[in-house]
Amino acid sequence: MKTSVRWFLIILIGGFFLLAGLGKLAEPDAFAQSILRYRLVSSPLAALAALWLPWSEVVWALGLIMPRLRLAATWLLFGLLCFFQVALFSALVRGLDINCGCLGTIGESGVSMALLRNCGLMVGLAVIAWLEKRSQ
Amino acid sequence: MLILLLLATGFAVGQGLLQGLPDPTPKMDAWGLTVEAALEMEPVLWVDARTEQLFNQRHLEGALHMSHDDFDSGLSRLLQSWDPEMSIVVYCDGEGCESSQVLAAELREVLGEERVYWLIGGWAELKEVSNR
Repeated sequence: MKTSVRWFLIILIGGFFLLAGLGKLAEPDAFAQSILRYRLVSSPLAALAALWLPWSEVVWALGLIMPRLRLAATWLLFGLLCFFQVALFSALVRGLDINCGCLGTIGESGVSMALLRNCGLMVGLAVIAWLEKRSQ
Repeated sequence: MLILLLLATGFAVGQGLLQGLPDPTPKMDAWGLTVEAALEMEPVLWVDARTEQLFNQRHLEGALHMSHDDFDSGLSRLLQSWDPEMSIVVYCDGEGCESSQVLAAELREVLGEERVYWLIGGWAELKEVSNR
C-alpha cells in the first residue's frame, strides 16, 4: 500500500515537474520574460534563471524515479518550491497582475492558483520523503 | 544531491553555449502604443484592465473597467460607450503586466476592429507622463 502511494506521488509530482520543465525549455525567451514580470531580478539574472530552472525541474523530476537519488531529488524540488512560493507570495502582496509562468508553454495559471497548487506539491514531496526514510 | 545540482547546471550551461542566453525583452506586437501616441489619438475609449480594486482607487478619466475573467459583462458595458469611430486603448499596471495585450487581442477578435491597442508601460507610464 505504502509502495503504491509512493509511486503514485512520484509519477504525479515527477510528471508535473517534467512537463513544466520541458514546457519552459521549449520557449526560453518567454520564460525569461515571465521571470522578469515578477520584478525581483534584473534582465541578466532572469536570463540565467530561465536557463537553469527548467533543467533543474527536468533533472530532479527524473531523479525522483531513481531510488539512489530519490531523497536528494525530493528535497531539492521541495527547496525549489519554497523559492517559488516566496516569489509568488511577493507578487500577490504587491498586487502584480501576472501569470505565474510555472508551466511554460503548457498552460497558464494565476498567482493564487499557483500558490495553492505548490502547497499541494510540497505536501506530496514531504510524504515521499517520509515514506522513503521509513523504507531505508 | 551534488550530482543532481551538477547535472542540472551542466545541461543549462550546455544549452547556454549552444543557443545563447534567453532574451527577456518583451516582444512587441503591431498594436503596442506609446503613451504619447495614445494621448494624441482622437476619439479614443480607454479600457482599464487592472484589478477592480486598483481601478476603484484611481483610473484615467472616462476609462472603462474590463477584465479577461469577466469579459462578457465588460463587453456589454463597452458597447454602450463605444462607437465605431473610436479607437480603443487598453492599459494595465505597468511594464511587466500582460492583461492589456491579452484583452486588446480579445477585443480585436470580437469587434472585428483593428484599432484596438494596448498601452506600452501601462498605468505606471501614464502617471509618469502626466507628472511631467
